[in-house]
Amino acid sequence: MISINRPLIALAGLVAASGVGIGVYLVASSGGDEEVIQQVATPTPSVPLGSPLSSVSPTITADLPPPAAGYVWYVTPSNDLGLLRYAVQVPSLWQLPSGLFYSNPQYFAPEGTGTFGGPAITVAITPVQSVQEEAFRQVLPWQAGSTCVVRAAGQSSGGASSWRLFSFTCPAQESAVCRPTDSGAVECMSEDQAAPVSSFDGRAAEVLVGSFHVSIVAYLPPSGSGADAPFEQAIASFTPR
Amino acid sequence: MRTVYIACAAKGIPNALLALLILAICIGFRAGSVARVDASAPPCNNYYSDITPPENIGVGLTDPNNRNRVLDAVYPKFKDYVKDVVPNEWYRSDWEMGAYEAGALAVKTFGWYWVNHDRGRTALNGKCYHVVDWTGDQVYVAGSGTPGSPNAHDHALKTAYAVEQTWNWLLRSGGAIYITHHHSGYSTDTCGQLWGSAAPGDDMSQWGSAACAVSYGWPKTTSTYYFPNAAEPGDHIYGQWHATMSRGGTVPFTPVSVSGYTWKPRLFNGCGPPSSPFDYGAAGDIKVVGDWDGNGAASQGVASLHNGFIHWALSNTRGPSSPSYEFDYGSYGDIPVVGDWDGNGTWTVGVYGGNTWLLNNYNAPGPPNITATWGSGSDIPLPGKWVATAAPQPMTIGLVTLDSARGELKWLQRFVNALGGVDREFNWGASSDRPIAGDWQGGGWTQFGPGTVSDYYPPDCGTSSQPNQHWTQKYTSGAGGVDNQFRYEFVRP
Repeated sequence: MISINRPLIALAGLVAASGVGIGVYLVASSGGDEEVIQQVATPTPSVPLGSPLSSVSPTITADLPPPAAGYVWYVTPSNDLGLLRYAVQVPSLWQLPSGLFYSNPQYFAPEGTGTFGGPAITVAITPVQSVQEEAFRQVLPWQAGSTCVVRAAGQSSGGASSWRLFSFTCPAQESAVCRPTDSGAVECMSEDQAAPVSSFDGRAAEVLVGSFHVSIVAYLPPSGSGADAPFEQAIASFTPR
Repeated sequence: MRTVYIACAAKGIPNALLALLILAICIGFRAGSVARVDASAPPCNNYYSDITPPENIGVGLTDPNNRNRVLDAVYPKFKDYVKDVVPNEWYRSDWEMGAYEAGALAVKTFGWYWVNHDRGRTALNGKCYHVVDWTGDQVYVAGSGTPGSPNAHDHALKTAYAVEQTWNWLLRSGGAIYITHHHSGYSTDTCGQLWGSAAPGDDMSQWGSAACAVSYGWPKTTSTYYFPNAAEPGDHIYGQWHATMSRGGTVPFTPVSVSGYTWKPRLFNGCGPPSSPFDYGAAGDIKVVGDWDGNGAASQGVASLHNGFIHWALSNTRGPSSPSYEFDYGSYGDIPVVGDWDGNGTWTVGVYGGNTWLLNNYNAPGPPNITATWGSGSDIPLPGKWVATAAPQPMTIGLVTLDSARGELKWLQRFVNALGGVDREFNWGASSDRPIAGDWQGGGWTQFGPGTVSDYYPPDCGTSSQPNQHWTQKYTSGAGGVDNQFRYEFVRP
């Protein structure tokens, strides 16, 4: 069992703050059949509270199966709000949050990813009394994706649940609107309709767990790939706790 | 069983410190405690009202380099939040005031909705919030709505004015605050045009609102965009309704303030408690006061929006009572007004929509007796008796607008209820003041003077009620100083 939590991070911060260069390595042995070595990035005093600190899941417990190759479990800490706790697998090379606090929605992406860059995954937990349906829209830009084109994309039986799937295209700037064309394509135009604007594509999945909507949203990179596998792995691995 | 090894590749660390480090980690593993959020952070899921706006709103502050990361949360006063959003969403400085007023209502209602319906959002530091500070919800820049502040936009004066003057109004659907989405739209959008995938009735084009504002005021604009979904657009709200009213004889008009549906008249123009509060109407009704039966004393009335029309319920009895008159007059998009249009001593109904006044000499349905085109849609209608004479005179049309060059209220008065020029024009009051008018002197001197009500900090009156509403009065219309001022009634800022 590996468990890394607040004291470790705090201690790492303390050491960093003392001006001593240090690298902390975690070696997780599962009995010899595999060995994972991951480096904990040393936080510095300049890192604001709440910034991503580590590429290692903050809490990992024994009741989860080993993650798929290239992935790591992210397990939410507890929270005072009664929000659903969960575990989900995300690419091990992506930047993960510190895990000190329950953050919702939770965003995962490679370090240096911009706002509309991909690949990126967002997991959102939304109380059903707040949003009736398609809660994933709440994490889309432009006020629930009001200028995006969103389309239903069937269902997926990821994990133990049946997820509703969607695809979307959104403009990468506010003063623009995406709309479907007669041919079924999507065009995104500037506010003066003089020129196309850049846009980004994504996928979303949603399922109801108890009194919460669980939404997983993927931003795809311009190449159209790179987030598909993490998206599908997130769906398959999502585990309420 | 898995084993955890920790290897330190460090230089210059004493063994004792290294041992302490490992010990601390081990203790940490056992403790397994969860970090708690700053205790000063307020909860986000403990408020719901369709009448009274929240006192604060939680705003998630995003990482400018990646807006998907919410680093922290702040909790500004709700009105300040609205002021600091409108200039960033209605971002053009050359639009008509009606567009900013429609935007102020949309921004306020959108933020309020998410306070009512907390989405369980928390920042990376664990603090809860209701909305983010970028276009995922609404763009918020602290200070940008305060004219003259370092972050202020050059049109902050206009947008702050728009927020103040529409603060007593709200948008509801079926009696509930609802999601008033808004987005830029296309610069070619006509009034009512909307692109995008949002359902009609819960979304407004900012460019489209600007097109509306060329001809219409905010009521028509918001009704145009939100009407399909809003059974009751433009409800009047809670306890920020203020006016003054005659109590009969020759005594001056004195304040009346309404909280929800509790009417609180004041017998004197000075600090002190209300006199004999009473209930009348519903919290969402639009409030009016007037002398409906011509007996010289004013009493209360309400107007509500019903089936596309304005439904009036006026009582001749000041106090709890049944309506003396009930009828429909006017329609959605109109602002109710009341006055003695023919000078016979009886106050009757009217509406102001766009730049058109439709005034009725009877408290009954029917075609208007007086139709006057005067003003612009974004002006605040404020009729009164404007001529300096003790002789009987009708109430005539008047408007208050923003003098953006001077940051003051500009009063425009017409001495007849008819198309024509401006008979009197003057500046009086700050742009953040809410205008009122009344006969402050009484004694047979019937001319109305201007007045204002504004928030005052800190509340102080030397009484236990600690009012924070600052009332000012000027006895005659025209530029000049304040003749009387006092504080009366507390309204949560």
